[in-house]
Amino acid sequence: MRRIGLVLLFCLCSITLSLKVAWGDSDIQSSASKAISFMPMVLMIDSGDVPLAAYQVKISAKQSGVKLVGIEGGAHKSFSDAPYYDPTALHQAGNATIILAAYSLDTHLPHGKCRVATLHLQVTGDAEITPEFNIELTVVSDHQQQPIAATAQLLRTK
Amino acid sequence: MRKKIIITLVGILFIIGIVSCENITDTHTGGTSVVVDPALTNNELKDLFNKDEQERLSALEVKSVEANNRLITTEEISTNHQIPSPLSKKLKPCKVGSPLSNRAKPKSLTSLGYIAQDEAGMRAETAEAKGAIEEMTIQPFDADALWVIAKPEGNVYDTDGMPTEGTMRTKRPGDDTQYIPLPLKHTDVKGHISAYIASVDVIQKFHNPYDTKIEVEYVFPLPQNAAVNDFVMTIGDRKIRGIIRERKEAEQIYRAARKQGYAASLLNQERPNIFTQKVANIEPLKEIDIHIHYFNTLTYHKGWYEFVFPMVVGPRYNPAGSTDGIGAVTSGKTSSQPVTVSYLKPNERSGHDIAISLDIDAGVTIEDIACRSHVIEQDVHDNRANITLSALDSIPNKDFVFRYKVAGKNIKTSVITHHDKKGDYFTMMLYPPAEMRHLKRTAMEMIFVLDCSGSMQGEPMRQAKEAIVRGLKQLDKNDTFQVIRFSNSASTFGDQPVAATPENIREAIAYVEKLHGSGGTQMIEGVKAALNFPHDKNRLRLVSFMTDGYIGNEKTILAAIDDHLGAARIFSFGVGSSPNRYLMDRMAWFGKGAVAYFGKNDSPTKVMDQFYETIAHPGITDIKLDFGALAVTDLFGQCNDLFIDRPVIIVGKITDGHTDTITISGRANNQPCEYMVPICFNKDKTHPGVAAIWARKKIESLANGAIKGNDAIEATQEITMLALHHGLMSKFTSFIAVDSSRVTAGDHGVTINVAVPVPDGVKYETAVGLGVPKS
Amino acid sequence: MKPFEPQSVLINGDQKMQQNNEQFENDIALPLALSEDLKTVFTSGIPDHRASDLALLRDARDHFDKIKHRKKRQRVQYIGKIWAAMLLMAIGIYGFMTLSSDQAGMPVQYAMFDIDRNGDIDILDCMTLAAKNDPAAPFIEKYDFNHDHLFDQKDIDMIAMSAVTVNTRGVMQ
Repeated sequence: MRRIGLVLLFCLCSITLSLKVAWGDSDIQSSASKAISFMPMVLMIDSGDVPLAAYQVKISAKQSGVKLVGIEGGAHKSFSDAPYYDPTALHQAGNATIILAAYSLDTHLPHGKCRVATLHLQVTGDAEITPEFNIELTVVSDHQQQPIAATAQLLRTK
Repeated sequence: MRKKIIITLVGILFIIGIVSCENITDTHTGGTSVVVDPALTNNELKDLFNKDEQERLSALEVKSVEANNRLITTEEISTNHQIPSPLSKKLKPCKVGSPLSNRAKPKSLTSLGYIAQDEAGMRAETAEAKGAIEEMTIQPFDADALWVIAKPEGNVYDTDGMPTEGTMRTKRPGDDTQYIPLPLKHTDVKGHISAYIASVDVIQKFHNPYDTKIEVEYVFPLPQNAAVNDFVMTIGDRKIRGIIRERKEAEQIYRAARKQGYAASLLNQERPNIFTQKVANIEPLKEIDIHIHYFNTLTYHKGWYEFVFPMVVGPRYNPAGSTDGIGAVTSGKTSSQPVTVSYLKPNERSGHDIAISLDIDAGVTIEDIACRSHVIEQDVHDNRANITLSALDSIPNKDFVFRYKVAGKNIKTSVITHHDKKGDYFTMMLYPPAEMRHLKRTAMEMIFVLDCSGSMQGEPMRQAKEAIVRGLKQLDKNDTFQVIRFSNSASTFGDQPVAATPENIREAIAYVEKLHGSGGTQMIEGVKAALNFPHDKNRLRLVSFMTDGYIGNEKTILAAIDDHLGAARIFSFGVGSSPNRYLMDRMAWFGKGAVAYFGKNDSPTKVMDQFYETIAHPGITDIKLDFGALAVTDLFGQCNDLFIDRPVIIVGKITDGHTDTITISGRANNQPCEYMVPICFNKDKTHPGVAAIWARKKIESLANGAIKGNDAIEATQEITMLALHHGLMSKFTSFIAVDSSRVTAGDHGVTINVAVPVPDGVKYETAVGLGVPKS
Repeated sequence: MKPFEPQSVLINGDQKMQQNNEQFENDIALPLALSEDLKTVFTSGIPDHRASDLALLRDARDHFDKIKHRKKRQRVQYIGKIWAAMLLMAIGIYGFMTLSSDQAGMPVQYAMFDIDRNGDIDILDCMTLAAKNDPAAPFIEKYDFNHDHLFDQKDIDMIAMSAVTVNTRGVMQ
């Protein structure tokens, strides 16, 4: 019984440690062997006919090898400044997610499909493959802070 | 029984294994959402740590400074031993007004006449009545708590008499015949000051006057306690916010972006007060603006708050063989050091100008303002002021030093808190009693150390000698003294300290008058000569360093001070218009003394008088703070002693609890005493700068630990993690911004170092090397 | 009355009893009660030791079997309790780690930042507050979150930073 227990103990420790080392190493090796490229991804929000005054969107990449190297504002002057984001979120292990948010009190607001932000990315791997993201538009409103129907997309630009 | 134990152990390990696997799964499986690469593992961080730097740090002979910076309890004084200090402890509750029955009442500050009995919120009680107050460890070096005796007060105009030309010119790379405008066009500084925290925005405007793409490298200073937390690159109308990343990673990204032709900018920290800004692929005739934001705390001195914006990096002396220094060369040249500052010749003008504006909310009435370094325009109303640098004085060749005086002579306490997802933080400023002149002056062993290197030649040497002469004349008959000079080597006035007799003083003055500046700055020789001889136990040894601090190996000097200090105290006097404040402040901190600065137009006599006046009347020593029911941790600030005009500034984290009073206990005139200070922790009021400042201080303490060789690798990792967690710059984290929307035409272009003027008052010929031509 | 004269003791005890019984039945003079009593005595017979022994043994065996089963059951229950406790502990630890790290990453939900009182801190609170930010209006102290005696963009930025804080495990794990 005692021997069985000791053997079990040893096996468990070995399995745990080897798993951790193996996954860690594979991650390093895979990063080192791929090319680096830069690409911008624009955040488009389509609010239809309703002028867009504020948005808040949660974004996370579906794969590794994507690094954020800059955040830029949008095309319309109402959202020309870089949106708010939490810089520490980029360095969290596990489910690293960022939230972008911006608002404008301008009288002339954009409507329809408009670019509200640009994410400048460094991508490790095949430059032809566009990274995929999970996007959740948590807040979108008009100038009276009333929620409106809108969709959000991240598109790659040339 | 044995079986049960084994079964239990196996079960626990199994569960731990499951939980660990769960964590790994979250990090590495492809199904989770990941925006960026996972955080670097410990192995990667270790690999990224520079091997050369590891060897250098391990070669330093250092000891821990925990003992030197620990608070010492009254029990320790009586029993003459030191209690090991933990990292932090929850202090025991202290009831206000606890009875003193069955205990003898010692003399208090009230009975000694230091404070009025009815002074609001304050009364003196015996420390013994409160029982043992747990010790609180203060981390090494805190710029806010540094004892500063004097500040420079310069003339309002540029003393070389040359008006600003209003033109931008430099020499084209590889072409000495043609003058062309410089890439750094303008710097805009906007500061907002609330209580004693400054929030400052610095905008640097770079312009490419050439017909090819260029890369610009600009080395510039910021206040040494600046917590840089935001970075925006503006190209035309487009603003790209930079991302804080681990330094090696940021540099890799920058190199890759530069090579591929993208506009990119990288901000690195070389020293706590020196930063390098690189901007790549600035297209011909285009502009790129870099916007940096930082928080920092103001220093306090004799009722005056001081805001400093440094404008130029002084040329540093790097000992032979040094590879981690900061090179100083003529414009267009490079050096063997990793960071190079190019200096304009005296007959050259940069054309780069600077604009500074400050918006001050003092919280109390502003009694007076002063700015002797520059001409300013001011608008003061009660507790608010707006200050603007005059356009007539916009050449950035000397530090901008602005002061304002607040009302009130009574002890005041200021507490600012902040609460966010990272935790609760607070900063507190405790002021000393206004009058503590009843205490006696002890006999001293004064050691004057004079820097006789080339950079001191001229006005700095004259001032330093005048200060030493004044210091010699102020000595008491019971004092002894020694005079030491150093440049390439060190020599002394006498074999050992001599009595301060009139004859000895006359001879010493004659010796000092003959000294002059030439040669290198081997400060380590001066440190060793000042500290490496037996200490007179009947006297307090005070070592006064007179230097501009223009060296590149600060770490070696600080480690040597820490190693050889013993019972001495070091007072560093920074001479010149832009002394190495980083070194000066840390010499004073590690030397448990104070720092004083005097600009080239200041009176050294006055500064020495202030010095003697301050050290002659110590206030409350061996301070302990009891926060009562408030649990605090990671406290930063020096509160060993409370002197006249020297407030105790503490910043820390709150973990639990609440309190309305803080108890300060210590010794005054060798008698135990105690204060109760009312405070208000109002969680509805918050200041984001507090968290950034706390993180900045934590990073600094970790870096100081690394200087002493205390597990440098672990310190590096911890600094990196902390800086990333708070979004702050540090030596191991940098800001990077890349415009990936378009590739600029042509190759990556020429790299240009933005040349800067030599600091006001420093001689170009003796301070700046020739360097080697850039390839 | 003829005195009772036992027959030979060599005869089997049962047969002897039978004979005695017959004798008593034939004796008219004996009172019936006594006769009945005696019958009872003599017809009760010697107990069947084997049966009773067997019964006793059976009872004892059952008893000890029960004890043995009980012990086994107790042992099983004991081990089961240990595993259940460890499982609960594991769930607790996992839950604690998940929740606590989540809490470490949770944005601080200050009531004062929830300007529109919708129970959430988001960009709409910034927008609502920004709409109230009028330089010409008197100073509104409750919105001076950084207590710089100004109600300005910095106070709005503080809400924004709280709104974009992600509720995940922190980097300090």
